[in-house]
Amino acid sequence: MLILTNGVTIKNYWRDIWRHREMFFFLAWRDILVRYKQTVVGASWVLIRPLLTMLVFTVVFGRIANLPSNNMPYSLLVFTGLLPWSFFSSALSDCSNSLVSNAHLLSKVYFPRLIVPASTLLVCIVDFAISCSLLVALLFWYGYFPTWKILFFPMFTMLTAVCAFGLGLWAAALTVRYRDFRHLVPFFLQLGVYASPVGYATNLIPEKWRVIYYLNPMVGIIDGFRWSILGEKDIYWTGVLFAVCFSMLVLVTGLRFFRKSEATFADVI
Amino acid sequence: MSIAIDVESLSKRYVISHLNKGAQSIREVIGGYFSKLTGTENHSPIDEGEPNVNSSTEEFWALKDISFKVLEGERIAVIGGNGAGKSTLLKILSRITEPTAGQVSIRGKVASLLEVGTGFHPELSGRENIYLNGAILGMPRREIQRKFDQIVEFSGVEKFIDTPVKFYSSGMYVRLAFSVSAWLDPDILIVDEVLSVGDQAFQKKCAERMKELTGDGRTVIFVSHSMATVKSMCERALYLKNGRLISFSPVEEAATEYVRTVMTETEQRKWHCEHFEYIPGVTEVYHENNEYIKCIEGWIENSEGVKASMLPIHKAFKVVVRYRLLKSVDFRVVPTFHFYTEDGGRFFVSYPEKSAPQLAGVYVAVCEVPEFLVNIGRFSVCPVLSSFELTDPVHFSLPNALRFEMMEVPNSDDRRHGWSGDVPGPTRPRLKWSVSIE
Repeated sequence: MLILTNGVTIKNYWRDIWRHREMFFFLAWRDILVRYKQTVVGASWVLIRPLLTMLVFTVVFGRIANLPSNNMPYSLLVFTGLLPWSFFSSALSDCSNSLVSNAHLLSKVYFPRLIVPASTLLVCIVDFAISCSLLVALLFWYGYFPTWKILFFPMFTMLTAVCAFGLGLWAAALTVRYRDFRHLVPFFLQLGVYASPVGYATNLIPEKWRVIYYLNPMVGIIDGFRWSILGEKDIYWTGVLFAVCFSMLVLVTGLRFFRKSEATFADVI
Repeated sequence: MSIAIDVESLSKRYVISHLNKGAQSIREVIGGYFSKLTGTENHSPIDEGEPNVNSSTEEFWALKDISFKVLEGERIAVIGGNGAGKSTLLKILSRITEPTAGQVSIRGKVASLLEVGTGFHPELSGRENIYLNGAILGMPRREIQRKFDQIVEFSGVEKFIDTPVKFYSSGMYVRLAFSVSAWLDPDILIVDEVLSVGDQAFQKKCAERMKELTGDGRTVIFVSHSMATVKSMCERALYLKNGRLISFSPVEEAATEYVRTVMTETEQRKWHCEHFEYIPGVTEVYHENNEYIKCIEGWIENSEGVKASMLPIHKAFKVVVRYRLLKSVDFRVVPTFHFYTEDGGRFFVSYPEKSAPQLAGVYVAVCEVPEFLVNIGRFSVCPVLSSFELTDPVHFSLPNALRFEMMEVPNSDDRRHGWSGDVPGPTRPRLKWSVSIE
């Protein structure tokens, strides 16, 4: 017996999501299939894009600006920053647009709306996994062998996903009502590349700015990635801890906000 | 029988904001907060009496206090004009949007078909789209696999099943889209007017499949504008008007009531014109050659002698024109009526039996059109005054002067013999028939 009234989110929300798991996979599958249709090199774009970005950053920051690389190949420094950053940025921007770009579905069929941003996240995770193979190739190329710290790699991946998804849920629900977020999110992500240690190492930032700098959760996350992949000695753990707390907080509040506004999506989209 | 759907005083309110249509921008929201803080909000004197009314928003009740119960296995039609709340009701029942007040209790698995091919992606092949669409409609993958061949066969696009649907013709596209929906297997099926897809042959197939689907004990909620379809598929009908439930009665009754209301309400529509007055110099006229033969006015009246432009097909009606001869003439003045179909094609021309008089005075020409001569649809009449003895025979002609529409009240045609669809063609004459066994 299903009872529909105003303001009461249904009791078995999570079970309902479980029932729709096939749709979740199918939506992700659709996005993956469709993305590189009618392209010449097809899925290779997943590899070409980060590779080109890495080259540009290496030339600009490493060669032209001549920033310090902490005694490691500059391209490796860039790539270990780029990997989590592109995952974060694509997950956040795709999630925030996911509801609006699936508006026709929201207004015609019932399903727990959470499925849409979640399947978008899954697509980004697949991309991330493919980019990781590039990382492995690079490590081989430079003869870098990871230490035991690599065991933390999945942990940091998860942290990135949680952070991006939490923010993405907020942005997605807000975009439905305020389309301004379609412009705001890309803008912040554009700034974020420079406000996060993607093209440079964190120790470039003077000690006195550190506290403010680490308010950007991606700083702690990228630090963590470099620490686990490249085996860097020192890492500012307070920053990482802050990133963890921040991510959990946005995920919990994001889920709550999303569920609260979910019922009216079809009316305002 | 147990109750499948129980709706109790259901209401749905939409807030329409006039400034910010739908999605608003942050600037407006922040601006609103600011003006509240600083107290610079504009208060017109009218607003002060009712402090809670925000002049930029308007409430609109798409549904107001609707209650009804649907038994298991019952087939219910939802009828009503545009904006009656039909779609809103379907959206609430299929959980796309939540009610503002009231409660709906549903027992059983619901599938809703508010359009065909929801989620179809043009870049994906027919095969891929079947799986995707099935998953969106809540069909498990195994079930789709099992029914896959049936779906493809039904759609008739076997050859192109691995071609991206963007290369499909629009006919193929809707056929495939409908086919997936046609194999859903819920307890309660909610259908919006999605049946009129594809060519005639496919439409027939759809109708048959829908009958099959709705036949075996499923509860069905069905929205349609076509009274014929509604009557062939449902037992009872909910008649909604302006968000309120007017009646919940056997489908025949509700359909008749609905058609009657439509007939009276559409009188004012632009097409319809049951009366014209000829004002020289003002009325745009096609022909006006003679200064002493003047048309005055014309009208259509129904079988009860009332001027009307919505006419039931099973009743005769009259077309009338009044004209004045300012002086006696030595040739015959013949009024004729040219009937046109809505698309502008000439349907037929009608002449009086007797020759017209030639004396000065006001004349009234009445032409009675028998029942069933004109089929349902829209028609116009061009009254013409002519004298065929003259080299320039037309004195007066006013195309589209009168415009009317023929309607069919349910059960008024006793020759349907169970056929419930449209009867095509501009005319439906009652010809003499005899069918007998040799």
